[in-house]
Amino acid sequence: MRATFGRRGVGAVVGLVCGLIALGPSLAPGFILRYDLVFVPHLALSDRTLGVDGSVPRAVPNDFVVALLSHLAPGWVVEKVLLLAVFVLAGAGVGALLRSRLGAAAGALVACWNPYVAERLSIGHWGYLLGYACVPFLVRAATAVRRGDPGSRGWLGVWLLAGAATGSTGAVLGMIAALAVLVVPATGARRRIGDLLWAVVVFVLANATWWFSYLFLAPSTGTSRIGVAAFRSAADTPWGVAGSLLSGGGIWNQGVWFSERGSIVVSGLALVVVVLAVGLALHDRVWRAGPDLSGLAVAGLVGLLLAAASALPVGRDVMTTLITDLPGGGLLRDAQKFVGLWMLLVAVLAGRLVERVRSVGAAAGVDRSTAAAVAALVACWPVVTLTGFAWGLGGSLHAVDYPASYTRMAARIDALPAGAVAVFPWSLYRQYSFDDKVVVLDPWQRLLDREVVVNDDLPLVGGAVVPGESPQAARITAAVRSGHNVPATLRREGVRYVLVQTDQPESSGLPDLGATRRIASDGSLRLYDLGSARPQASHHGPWRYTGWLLAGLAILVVCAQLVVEGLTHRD
Amino acid sequence: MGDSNKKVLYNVGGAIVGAVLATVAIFGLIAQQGSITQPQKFSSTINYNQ
Repeated sequence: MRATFGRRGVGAVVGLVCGLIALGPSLAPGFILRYDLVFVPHLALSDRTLGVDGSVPRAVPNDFVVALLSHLAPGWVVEKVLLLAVFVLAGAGVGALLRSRLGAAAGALVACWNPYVAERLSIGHWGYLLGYACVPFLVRAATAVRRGDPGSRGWLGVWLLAGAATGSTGAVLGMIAALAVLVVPATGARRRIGDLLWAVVVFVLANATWWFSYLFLAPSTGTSRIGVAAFRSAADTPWGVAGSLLSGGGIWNQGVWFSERGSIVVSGLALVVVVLAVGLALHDRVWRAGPDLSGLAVAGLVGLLLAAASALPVGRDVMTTLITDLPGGGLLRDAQKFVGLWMLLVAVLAGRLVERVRSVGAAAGVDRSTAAAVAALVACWPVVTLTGFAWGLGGSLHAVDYPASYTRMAARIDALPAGAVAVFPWSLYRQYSFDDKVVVLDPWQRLLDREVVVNDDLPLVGGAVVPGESPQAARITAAVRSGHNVPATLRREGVRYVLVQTDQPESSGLPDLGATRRIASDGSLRLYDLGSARPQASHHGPWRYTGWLLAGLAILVVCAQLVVEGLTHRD
Repeated sequence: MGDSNKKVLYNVGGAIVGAVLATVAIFGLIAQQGSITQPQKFSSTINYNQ
């Protein structure tokens, strides 16, 4: 146990150092606003953060977690703590899966400093990353269950709950890993259907917050084929999609690629080390080491396969059918996110590779310090092949404050009589001069404690547009495009207030508000009152909270299991 | 192969690995610095992947 803590502690320290270096100047007071990374001073607990407002529950329940934490600390503090937690948890988790402190440090470095973490951080998918960081803990917890350790089922439940709190993607990543560990053949480790059922039941209940909303409350429009093509894995290195994914990259968004990975030499070295680590693992038959490594190996391969499938000719049609026709298939759309499982496997295997470098030195008669120094040198390969991750993604991450006019306007709107707010220009992403004109998701859905209607279409470079899911937004889009009766359409859709951001490109559509009364003007913001709007039907009544009841049941069940196991163990 | 030869081989291998890593790090830094451009352009349409 003490040795485990030592390895876990070393991994956590390495993770923390990686986090401090990677986030760099953005750790200063203020918000990091970039792509989908949007935090606000105080996120309200609302139907939107609970995912029961009828929209697609993309940030559920992680926005709820942020809303809760916002009661304890300012939003920017919550943001930085969550981002640093990704690094510390990932480092600690992987460190505990290795055999020595040197291996733990090397593995933690790979887990925290790789293209997957860097690219997902750059696009702002912090929930995915927190889920990724929980995976090694789930692997350890499921391994303890396989060994029959006292109290292990309860702790597996705790980590399944933690994974669920990070959102749908993080939960699914964790579940793939936990299931793999629970079912892989391993000598000397029990395999019981009861353990499997326990994991599945806790997973299903704990994640009801998003799957219930998705299946029963959100619009039932299918996933667009345009989106499937746009979000499939892409080559961010000269080594093709497969080579890019093997080394942890391959995200679809060119805007978050790292330039050094475009070099055949730099990305080639990363690929060589990955191949060496995998080759050594095959030579050592690591799957015989126990269910943790064999399970992680299965999970890693599944993740790699899922990430590659939609980009390769063989799997493209299958994945397209799954994504567009299967309920919940949208989870597979941005499939590169599953390569996180592969990178965690690579982290553990690379840690073992570094351990081997040291043991080879010892066997050759080299003194201990020299062998350790050479091994430590080899362990530096993640940093060498991804230098652009340092210092706030090479200076791309900034800490900024919202202009005072934003907080004043938010307070003013929240004090107004009931009515939804539509935000214009009619597009989902913004570029603010106070944020160095970085593309960022419109923050007003989070700044306001009331229904905010936005255009949920996703415009892409080249002119393609991935259609959104909201029928309400689609009807407003049609009105904005035609230019006829926009105020009347907005009122029909339950919109009473129109917030116009005058510092944004107008090509995406500004409404002709005619003689509509302007009730506030502050900085670049203009607020209009359209008058009483048609009340919208409530979103399905109290039963919309069913998913949260089920999640609460999951917490109760896990707590009960911990108590029962604790009492049994004491006896 | 004698023990002293193994030791020399290990040390030489370590030195080569160090030199390769240092070279690649410099290469990567140059590639990264060369790509630093102006902030994202304020275009008429804001795209998710620009």
